[in-house]
Amino acid sequence: MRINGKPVVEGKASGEILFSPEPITFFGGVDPSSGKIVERGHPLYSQIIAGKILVFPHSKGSTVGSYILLRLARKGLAPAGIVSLRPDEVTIVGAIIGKIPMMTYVDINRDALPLNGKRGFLEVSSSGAYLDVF
Amino acid sequence: MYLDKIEEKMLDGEFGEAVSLAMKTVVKMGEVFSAERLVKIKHAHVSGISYENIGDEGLSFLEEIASLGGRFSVPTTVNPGAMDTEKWREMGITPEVFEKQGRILRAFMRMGAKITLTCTPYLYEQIGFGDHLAWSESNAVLYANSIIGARTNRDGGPLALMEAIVGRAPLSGLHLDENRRPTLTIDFSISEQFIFDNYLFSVAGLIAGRIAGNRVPYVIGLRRLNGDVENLKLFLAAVGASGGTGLVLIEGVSPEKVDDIPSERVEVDARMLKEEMEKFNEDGEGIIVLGCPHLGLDEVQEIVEWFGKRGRAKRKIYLYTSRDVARMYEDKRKKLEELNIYMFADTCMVVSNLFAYGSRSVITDSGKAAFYLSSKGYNVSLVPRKIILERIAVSD
Repeated sequence: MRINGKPVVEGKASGEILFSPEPITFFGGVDPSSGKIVERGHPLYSQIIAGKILVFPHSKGSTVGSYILLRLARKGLAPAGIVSLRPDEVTIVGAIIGKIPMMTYVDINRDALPLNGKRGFLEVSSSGAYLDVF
Repeated sequence: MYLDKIEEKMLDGEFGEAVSLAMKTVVKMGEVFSAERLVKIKHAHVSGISYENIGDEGLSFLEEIASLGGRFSVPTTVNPGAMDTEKWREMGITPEVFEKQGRILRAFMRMGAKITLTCTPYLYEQIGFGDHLAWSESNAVLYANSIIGARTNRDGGPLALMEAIVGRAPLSGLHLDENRRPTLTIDFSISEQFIFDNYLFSVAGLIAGRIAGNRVPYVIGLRRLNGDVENLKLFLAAVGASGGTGLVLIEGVSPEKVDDIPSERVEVDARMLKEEMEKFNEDGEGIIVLGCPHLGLDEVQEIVEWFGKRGRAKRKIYLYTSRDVARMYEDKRKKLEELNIYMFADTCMVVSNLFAYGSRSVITDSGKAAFYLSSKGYNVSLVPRKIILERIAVSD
């Protein structure tokens, strides 16, 4: 299965897909020393985003979140790739300064997404972006 | 997106790596949000400078940008950080954290920022109607757009930093006329008298922000706030805490002309205001914290004069303000402490670790501070300043 999107940060990434039906708060919601989601009540609570292809609607919360993505990237704990349903400033700036391949404007159904746990390959170039799911 | 020749050179690295990274970020934001081109900005205000938030990685990122030649191409100011840079020892800050915070500020200085460390740049900077800005810090964004009629999106700290380096922002969002038109009316007419009789501007702001969400509202019933900087600050800061909007058009106050009053209308009555007050109705115990947003000079004067006449306050009062204002009270520190007043600059009750040097229970007049402190687990009483001064501060 191939999912197309709009390019944000160019690059290639492969890894296990981690899908969140809910927005993610990077500042306060993700532990910068482990890459673990620590927001109570979040559907992905206690899951690790490091090395995953993170597929989520968009981020919420403080714009310090961009620096959290940078911190994770510099510790090798960032997602391998980011796919968002709609663009938001915190994630875009964080992905650029953390050099994390990213695409956005993905048209997928939030509820019926059997992506979790599957392998994904993300390729983002200036001309286009897609995620292949195996 | 259209880029002029200079902008293309910036992107291609002719002005160095830092400018290129900054331009790449700004252009990408513009492309994703369908801006036709960039717009030159007059001033930038950058948040996200506290070491406690951005950590070692944020610190090294800023030092790298400065070393790579990143320089602000427009006047740039900075938001408060986690400590008073002079009284940090009294706030439970370790020398290690203080040193790291110092390195962040030195990186900002190398890049050319004015180290103002206040969330109220609109009280000090030369900002005018129609000016394009790149501001972060929601209360400042709301004040600049709604009261001055300047134009800025509600940028995040890292984006405002990049825009300050390239001197440009994507021409999108609140930079454009079509996005500054109100789409919703919030009508306080039936509760106007109740609000003004009881000084409920913070409470009204929390409600207005929640109703507005990310939309631009037209607010009716608060025209008497025209020229009342103190209460406009409190109202807008509260809007920014509970809502995502960067512009509120207030009838009789905002300088922008509104041609069509939105027909979608939400009325706010006294019952809604009372319900909101109940959320922050602790027992009224604890220390008094004032200055979210930072107090202006006249506000500090008024508070200090009040207790100068009435005598020592019965509870500790913490005032948060800019270093420019605090400096004027430097030699009066002893006198203030005799009145039970303690003044801090460069930080505030929300971004510093108040529990470490103050209390877990607070009384404040700020809806924004009440919103964030209660979400951090503090016991908060939200009380108008006039009542704090006339009743709470003078009783046991």
